[in-house]
Amino acid sequence: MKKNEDFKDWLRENLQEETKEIYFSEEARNKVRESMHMSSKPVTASPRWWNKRVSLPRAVVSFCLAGLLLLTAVYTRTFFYVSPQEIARLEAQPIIFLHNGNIPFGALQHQVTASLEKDKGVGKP
Amino acid sequence: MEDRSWEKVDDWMRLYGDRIMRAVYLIVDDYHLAEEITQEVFVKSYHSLQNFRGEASPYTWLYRIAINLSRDYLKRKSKVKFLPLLAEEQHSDNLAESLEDKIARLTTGKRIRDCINKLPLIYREVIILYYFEDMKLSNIAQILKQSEGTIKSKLSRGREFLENTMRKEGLVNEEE
Repeated sequence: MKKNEDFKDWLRENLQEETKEIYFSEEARNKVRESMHMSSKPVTASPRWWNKRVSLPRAVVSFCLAGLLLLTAVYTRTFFYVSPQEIARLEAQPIIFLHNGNIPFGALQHQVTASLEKDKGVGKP
Repeated sequence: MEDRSWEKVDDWMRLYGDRIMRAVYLIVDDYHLAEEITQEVFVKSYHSLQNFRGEASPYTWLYRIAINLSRDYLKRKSKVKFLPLLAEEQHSDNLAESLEDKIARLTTGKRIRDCINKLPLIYREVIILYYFEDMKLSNIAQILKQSEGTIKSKLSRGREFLENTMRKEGLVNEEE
């Protein structure tokens, strides 16, 4: 096996021989130049509004965000105190289910019950 | 400022274009791909010029871009070869053509290049930078962003692998 330096020189010489006809062509170089030239050209057409750069001061953005949070809190009553009496009142609100013929269930039930007792109710359903 | 950037990159193209092209060609083993990558190296360097602070030499910096682009292209083209597959490929070549005919047909340089192409990419890069580009280990470490110890280890393993492959090809003899 060749020694280190000999091996290195031998390998390099052969690879250089193998790649001696490999060049970065003028055509390829011109493509690079063209690409650079295109990148540095100023943009003549004005961008549409959705492509325009928007820059807002940080304070404005923070203020708007805080305002939005506050409005949401007010709307959802997040920070409003609800007393136990109010809770009880809300819970006591009747919940009416309307069945067929728009007759509330309670009324229907009352009618059926009344029809079963002789001296009660208007008449049979 | 824009004009000076353009001139700088154009200057680099003149100084390093061929060298980078040849090194990339050895890595990817495809002329047109090598040319495409080399073009992209300089275009990318133009766009990233503000990132070049002059700490490394321009050549080192350009080379780093070239290595990264070569890796990306090879990943996309699935040309990366893994160790276990290499022996089988070698045998299949022998079935098609006798060794004597193969030797007659190929030059030593081409045969060496074939051996290098059989190396896994992680060793191939180091071998090419060290043997072909004659770079110091510290420069290679800078380009590949690895420690010198890692580079030394890869170089040693890569060389061992390369010598074994070359021995099978009849390029090198056993040490007496």
